[in-house]
Amino acid sequence: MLPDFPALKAKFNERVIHPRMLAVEVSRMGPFAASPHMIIHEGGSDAINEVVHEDGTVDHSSLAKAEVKVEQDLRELEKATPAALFDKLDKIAGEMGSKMLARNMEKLHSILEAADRGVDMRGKPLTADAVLDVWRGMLISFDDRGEPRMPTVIAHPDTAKRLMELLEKAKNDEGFNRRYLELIEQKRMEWRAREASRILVG
Amino acid sequence: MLERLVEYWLDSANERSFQGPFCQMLASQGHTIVHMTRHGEMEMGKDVISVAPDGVICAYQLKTVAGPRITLSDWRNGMESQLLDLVVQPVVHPSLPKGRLHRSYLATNRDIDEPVQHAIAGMNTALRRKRVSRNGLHTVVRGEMLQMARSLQTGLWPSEQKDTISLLSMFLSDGRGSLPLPKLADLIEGVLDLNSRSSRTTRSEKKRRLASAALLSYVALSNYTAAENYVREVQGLTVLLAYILAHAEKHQLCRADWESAYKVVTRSIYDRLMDLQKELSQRSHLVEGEPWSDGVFIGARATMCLGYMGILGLWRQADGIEPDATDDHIRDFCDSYRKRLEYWGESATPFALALFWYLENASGAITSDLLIRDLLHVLCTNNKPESRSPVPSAYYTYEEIIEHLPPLGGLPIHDAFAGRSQTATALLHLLVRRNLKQSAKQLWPDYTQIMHEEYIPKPTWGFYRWRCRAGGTNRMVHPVLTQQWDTLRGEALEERGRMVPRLLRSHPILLLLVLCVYPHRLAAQVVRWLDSKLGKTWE
Repeated sequence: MLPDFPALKAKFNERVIHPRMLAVEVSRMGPFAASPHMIIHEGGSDAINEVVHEDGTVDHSSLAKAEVKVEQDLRELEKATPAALFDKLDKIAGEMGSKMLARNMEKLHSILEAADRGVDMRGKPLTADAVLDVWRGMLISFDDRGEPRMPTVIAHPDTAKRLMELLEKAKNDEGFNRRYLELIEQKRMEWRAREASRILVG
Repeated sequence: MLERLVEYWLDSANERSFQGPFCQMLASQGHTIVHMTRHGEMEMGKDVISVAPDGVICAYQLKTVAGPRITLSDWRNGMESQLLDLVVQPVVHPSLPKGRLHRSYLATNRDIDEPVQHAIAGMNTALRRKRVSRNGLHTVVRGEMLQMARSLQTGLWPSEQKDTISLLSMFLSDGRGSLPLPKLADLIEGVLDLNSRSSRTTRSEKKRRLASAALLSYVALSNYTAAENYVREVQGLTVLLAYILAHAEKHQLCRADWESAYKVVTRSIYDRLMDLQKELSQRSHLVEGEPWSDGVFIGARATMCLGYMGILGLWRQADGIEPDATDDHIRDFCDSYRKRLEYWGESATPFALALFWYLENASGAITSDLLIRDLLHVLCTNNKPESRSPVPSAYYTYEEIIEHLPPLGGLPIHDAFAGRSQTATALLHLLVRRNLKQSAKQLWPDYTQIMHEEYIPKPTWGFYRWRCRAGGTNRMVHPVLTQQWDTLRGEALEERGRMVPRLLRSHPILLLLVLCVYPHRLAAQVVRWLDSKLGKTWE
């Protein structure tokens, strides 16, 4: 064989390549980018994964495989500049992130469908108040300074653009602002009631 | 190559480091081990006492010398009189009938010079003539030792390159640092063939695999033994003990097939804990090795020592040993150092629990209750979902955690710890079992913000494995926000411990030892069961 540097390469991977790929992968996961990255240490793919909710209901989930197949001509690799190499790795990581985003969206959709949490606009055009209606049915928490942690909106680019325009316009609408503040106050009361319910009784 | 390794190990072993494997060799030949000495104190002049398969009591003295052979000068220089005592003094042991004849052995990892052989023959003739002993002194020399080791089927040792490298790296380490427990577990699993689903192996092969795994472990640990690195030795022996029980439970072996090996390891663990206690009693500080950077590590060292001293104290109480200076020192040590307990992560919880149960039994409830309350407070406060400095999970050892911290230039561990805990429920249940309602009420709002996790191995003998690669259940529980005290108390008082494997149920102290090495097995139901055996709970 030709001289190799496995220990140095492992360190380079650990310190340079893996963090970079992880960052790119996460950046493509859209709203799921902020999700915690948890390692399942035991049980592997055939373990039962159970989530027991506050109300005692139990969800079972299985692991989904996300993979990207890569074919690389080593003659090209030999000539690649570091920048080109990183571009290639970014592309792989980006593709991986996109696959995970798609899978998570699919899962989210099926959960919302099953919980009957969809809001049907019945063909009516999207309005700023419709967004308030969606938020009304959601649990909103508040940070230490009392500011609401508003939900992330995921939408098709065209819908997102339209939504931004609507919300921007609604900022100047006194009626909308009042309804928005009322909603926030209602959510604050709900959140306080929820937090106050964390008690051991008796 | 592995045979050469055993040869090299035997040649470099001292009495203390070849006693354990020697006993395993005897056990594999059908001996019942009755006594193993702790070297440093000459208990009855007999290092090992066993009952041979033919029912005869055998007494062994283990000897090694600096050179390759025991010379006449070695013989004349104290050895002769010790061995004469071995032959003529009766074997006195509570487990053995009085007045029975015994066979005496000089067991050595060296050869014996011809003049010494003549001296032994002369001594035996004189003893027979005077009718002092009919059996005289027998010898077990290097060649026979090697033969015994070979009979333990070193051929069953994993021979893949990575395994050989793992074994060599442990064998060649200076024995002063940490023990690579995952590698040791991997090696033992390989010898025991735990992943195999074949039921074709015979009973004798299963027994051979057990003895072979034990020998491999002792060889791997030999430099830690030589360095008198007691905590690491205890950890390595605990892994071996867990796998002996895994093998026995998986194959439903009859007790006779595994019990001797189990007892030898258990006794070795107890002896090493006693050695640790003795060392601690002779030291005026806990600084070890290079001193200038040691301040960072003293807390972790103190935590491990506190946990193991707690276990030793509980063990002695459970065995009904009359309290003496050893117990006084254990209590003093735990009292003086308990404030140095360092909670580096959830993997420190079993050490804290060992200290808790020990203090509860030795010094009363108040200080120990505060310990549990404080640990739970740390977990509940630090592991909230938005936390930036959460306590790492029980799957990460002290070494793995510390090397990722900024002073050592490590990268962060890519595993989210915020919003989760494996041990908070166990700690909460301990408070509730002691009716500490006010503490539980204060901590409850923060406790409900954390998701509580556990892994339940299936089959149950998976509990003994370092990691279960397949099957079982990963459970995450979101606590109820509003909880009735009586309901919580009902949960906390449940103590069937269904996850606790069958063979550990008769020895809760050993379960606690296993948890110190396998902190990820510290599920709430396991802790409740242990508390029912070791704690003083509120009725």
